[in-house]
Amino acid sequence: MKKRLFSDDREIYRWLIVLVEFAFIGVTSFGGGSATVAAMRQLCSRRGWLSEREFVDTLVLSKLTPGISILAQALLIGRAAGGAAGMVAGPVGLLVPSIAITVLLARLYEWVSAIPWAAGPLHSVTAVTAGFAVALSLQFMKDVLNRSRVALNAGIFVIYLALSYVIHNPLLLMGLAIAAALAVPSLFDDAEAGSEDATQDGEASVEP
Amino acid sequence: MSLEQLFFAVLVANLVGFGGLSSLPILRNQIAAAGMPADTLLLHALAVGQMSPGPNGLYLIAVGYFVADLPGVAVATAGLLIPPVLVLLLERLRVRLLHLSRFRAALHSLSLTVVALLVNSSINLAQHASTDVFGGVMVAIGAVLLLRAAPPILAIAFAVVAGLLIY
Repeated sequence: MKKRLFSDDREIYRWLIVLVEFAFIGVTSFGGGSATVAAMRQLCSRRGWLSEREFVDTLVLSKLTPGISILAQALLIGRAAGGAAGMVAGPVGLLVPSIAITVLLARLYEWVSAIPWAAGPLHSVTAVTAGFAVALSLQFMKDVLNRSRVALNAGIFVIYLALSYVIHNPLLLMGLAIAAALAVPSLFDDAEAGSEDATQDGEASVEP
Repeated sequence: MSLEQLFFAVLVANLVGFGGLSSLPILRNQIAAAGMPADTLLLHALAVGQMSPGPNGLYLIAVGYFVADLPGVAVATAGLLIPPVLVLLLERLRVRLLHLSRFRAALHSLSLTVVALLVNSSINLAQHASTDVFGGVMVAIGAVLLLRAAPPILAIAFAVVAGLLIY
């Protein structure tokens, strides 16, 4: 049973608690998405807003949602904790401080860029950042290939990668990928091919 | 790039991406189509995004700032907030949809494409940043540090010090 956040006469303030808690995560969760998910998990556990199972449910659903999945998860957690107002307070609380800090850093970055001696360090920073992009791509690649039928998935991946150099419109390539899956689902769906690790009970398999 | 173009670029990039940097290929394509230096702008925005707290996808806020200052930030924020609301629809449909083989197949095929496009864009960004040997070395160091789970902010601090010492 979920722990009550407040007594009934103060339920109106639940959204405010959601806002403050998510704002704190927004300020402190340096380290990308995984750090934010870990902080949200601790929050749910500490406040008793969601059980472990319910938290994983929100994680699975948010991973299936387009856009920044953490915002979708903050929306679901906020709703569970504070109803409709909490649903708004979660993503807003998470975003506002992060956006404010991002804007301040962007202004600082712009200001530093104008200083002549800063050209070297900035070149170094952008190069390291490009390295981050490469690393994140490799991590994503490992995630999508790390399932059953690795050779088949790797083959399809290589074809898509080769096509990305020929078809310069990403949306067109994505449309082709969806069309291919709809035409031959057995090539892409592990469950249809009889895999054990595919979704069996109507839920995607996502590590918490 | 007008504010409307920026809004739709961020919105579309988010609608077809699944968080993190997966929005990068679409955005790169849209920024380049608007006649802006996409790789340079994205590298600066990614650098700011990696220094900021919160999800990696917030580099889009820095893109909004570099394209159109604070109005760009507002527009990018709006483009970021709309797609996650679809989770409410997915919540209602999920059991029905996930039992459909074609839906699961389409999701997996789409994720393979998004990652292929991301690999393509990342290689382009790495080439763009490797204008000299030092740049190439720093790209490799950045990749290794992130793969070894080093905090991005520390890697960036290291890059600043290395840049000051070398240049």
